[in-house]
Amino acid sequence: MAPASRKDMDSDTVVHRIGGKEIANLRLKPREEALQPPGISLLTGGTPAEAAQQMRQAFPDPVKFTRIREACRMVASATVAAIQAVGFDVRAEPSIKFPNHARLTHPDGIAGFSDANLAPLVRVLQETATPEQ
Amino acid sequence: MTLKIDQEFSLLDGQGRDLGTVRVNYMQGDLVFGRFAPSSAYAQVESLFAEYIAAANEQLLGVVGELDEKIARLNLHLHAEESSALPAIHDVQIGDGTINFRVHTTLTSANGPTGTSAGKNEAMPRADARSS
Repeated sequence: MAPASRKDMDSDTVVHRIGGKEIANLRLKPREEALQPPGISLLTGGTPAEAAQQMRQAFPDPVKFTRIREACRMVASATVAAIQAVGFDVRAEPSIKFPNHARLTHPDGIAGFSDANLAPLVRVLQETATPEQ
Repeated sequence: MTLKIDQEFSLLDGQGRDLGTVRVNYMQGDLVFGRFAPSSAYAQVESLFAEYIAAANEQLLGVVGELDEKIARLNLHLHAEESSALPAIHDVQIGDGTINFRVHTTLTSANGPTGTSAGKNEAMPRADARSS
C-alpha cells in the first residue's frame, strides 16, 4: 500500500499517541531514527479509547505484548493543526493492520526530536485515561 | 470444522515445513490462543516472530506492518492427520511458548490454505480514520 501524501491529512484530523504525552514516550528510539523521515507512530481518527482498543485488538495476548498493552492505558491526542503549530508534522503511513497509521516527523529530522522541541508538543497534547473495559 | 479446546495441530508453512505443534487453550470470537511447541524448523522463521513482538511492544507500527506482510507470505496453516478441512488462519503471533491467530471462515485442504483470503492479513477493526 503506497503511503498517502501529506495533502491527505486534514488539519483538523485528530491523532493519537498510545502511552501518553510524557517526553520519554515521544523521543525517537533507534529504529525510529533510521526511518526516512525519522518519526514515531501515531493513529489517526476516532477517539482515544478507540485508538487504545484498536491496539489491544491488534496485539491481543496480554503476556507477549505486556508493554504495549500497559501503554494503552493512556493516550495523548491533538489535531494535526496543533502539532504543526509547534513545528512537527504528521504523515500518513497506512499498513494492512493499521490503515490509520501515521508518523510524527520534524523538518529537522532526528535533531528535531530534542527535548526542547518536544516540550511545546507536550503542551498541545491532551491525555485521556483509556483503561481496558 | 470448528476448533476445539485442547485440540492439537501441526503448524505448517507454504513449503510444507512443520514448524511446531499448536494446542488450543481458548478462543474469543475469531481469535484463538494456544501453546506452541516449536520444531527444529521453527528456528528458520523464529526471528520474524521475535522481532514482531519487540516492535509491537516498542510501538514501531511501521515495522509491525512490514513483518505482518512477511509473516503472511509464510502461508501458515494448520494440519491434523485426522482432519481434512481446517479453518484458514491469519495474523499469527508466536512467542514465549504461546501462539495466537485469527481464523477465517474458509477451510483449508490437507495441502494448505485455500480461498481468496488465505495467507492474507485482514484489516483490524479501526478507529474512524478521516485521513486515510
